[in-house]
Amino acid sequence: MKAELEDASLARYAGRFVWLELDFDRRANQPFIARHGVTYTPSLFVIDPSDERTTAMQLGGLTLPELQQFLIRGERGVMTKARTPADAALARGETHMGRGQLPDAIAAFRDALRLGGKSWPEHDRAVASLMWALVLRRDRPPCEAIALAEAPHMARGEAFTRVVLAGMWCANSDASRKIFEQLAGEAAGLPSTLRDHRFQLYQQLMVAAQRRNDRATLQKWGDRWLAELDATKPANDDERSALDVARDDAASLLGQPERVIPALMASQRAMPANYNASLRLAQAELAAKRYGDAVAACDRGLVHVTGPLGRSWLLTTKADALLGIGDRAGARRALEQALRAAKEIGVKQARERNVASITKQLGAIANGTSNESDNRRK
Amino acid sequence: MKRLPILLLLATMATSAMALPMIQDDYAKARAEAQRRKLPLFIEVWAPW
Repeated sequence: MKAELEDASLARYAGRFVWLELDFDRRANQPFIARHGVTYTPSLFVIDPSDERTTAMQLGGLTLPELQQFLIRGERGVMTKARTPADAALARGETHMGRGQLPDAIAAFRDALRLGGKSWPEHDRAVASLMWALVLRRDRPPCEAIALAEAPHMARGEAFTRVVLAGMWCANSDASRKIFEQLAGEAAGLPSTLRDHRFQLYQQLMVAAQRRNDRATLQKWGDRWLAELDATKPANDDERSALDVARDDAASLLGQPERVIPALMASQRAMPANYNASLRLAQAELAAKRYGDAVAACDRGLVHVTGPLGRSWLLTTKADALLGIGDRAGARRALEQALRAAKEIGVKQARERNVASITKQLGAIANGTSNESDNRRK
Repeated sequence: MKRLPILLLLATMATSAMALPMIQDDYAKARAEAQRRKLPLFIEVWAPW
């Protein structure tokens, strides 16, 4: 998303907004994050500063043209009233999303679609917004049903891609998974698809192949994803870091961590003060059973980590690596530190999930039943 | 976050780092400036993972 935000073509908007970036894992930002129910990054907002009303809200990345439309929509919401009842309902849904009020947002998006009808210019965007609200609420049956009804007939653009992605997450039967896999393959090949979303499509396609033990298809999507990653030259540290996240995910799903370790080591050398680079390298080394290297990478990351979520993640990764070595006492100490960090996480869901998981791991160590955890939570 | 349920989103960058004058991690300051200048406030909540 930062690529789009840094694009020179946005210079004409520079004086029309005040611009703010908030790091999800920084303590100072937790009041805003809690107030607006943010659980997903990136989340984008346009807010009326006079009353803090959200006039545009977006979960996930946007293409540059979409970002420009988003800004115009948000600006219009501050300066003027919505144009039609359907537009007003859509704006209301975005306001509710901006406050983390998912049931109200879902109701408003449904109203917008009912009022706007199929020919409403914002129809596809409203469907995509409704789908993401349903996904966040983990309301799978309507999510699956709406995606099945809408996606095949939608114009092939970013809204289509978002609906297909939601459908992949919500699909609950082999028949619907098959339909969404076909649509996801199509979406992944669209020039309009945002790179973030294409990577998520690859990921979902690999998960789907893994579910039915289709090794050839898993390998095909994994190879395509890694080839694209290797062909992308990062413009700066942020992009390098983002690519490494994807690299780690692709290799993990393929079960081939060794394949990405050289690139992750290069990133660690290029960004020695970036804790995320250390964490990603540690995770690949852990998966490759290079436990001593993984512990060292975690220790490097811990020197530079900036927030409790990142800290607890590094420490649980370190604990897993120490267990691999057979150092149970060291693993317990790392988990105790991780637990202290996890209790400081600002976002309630992430805090509770991490505290529960680490507590369970500590219990397993105490009972002598511990193995490496699934250390890929966030 | 960036997958759903584990969602990860990826950051990319390109040209012109000075196109948008971003305030970092200070909502109160940004809101006050937006009120003073009577401008909408754009916010990106991001994460390094």
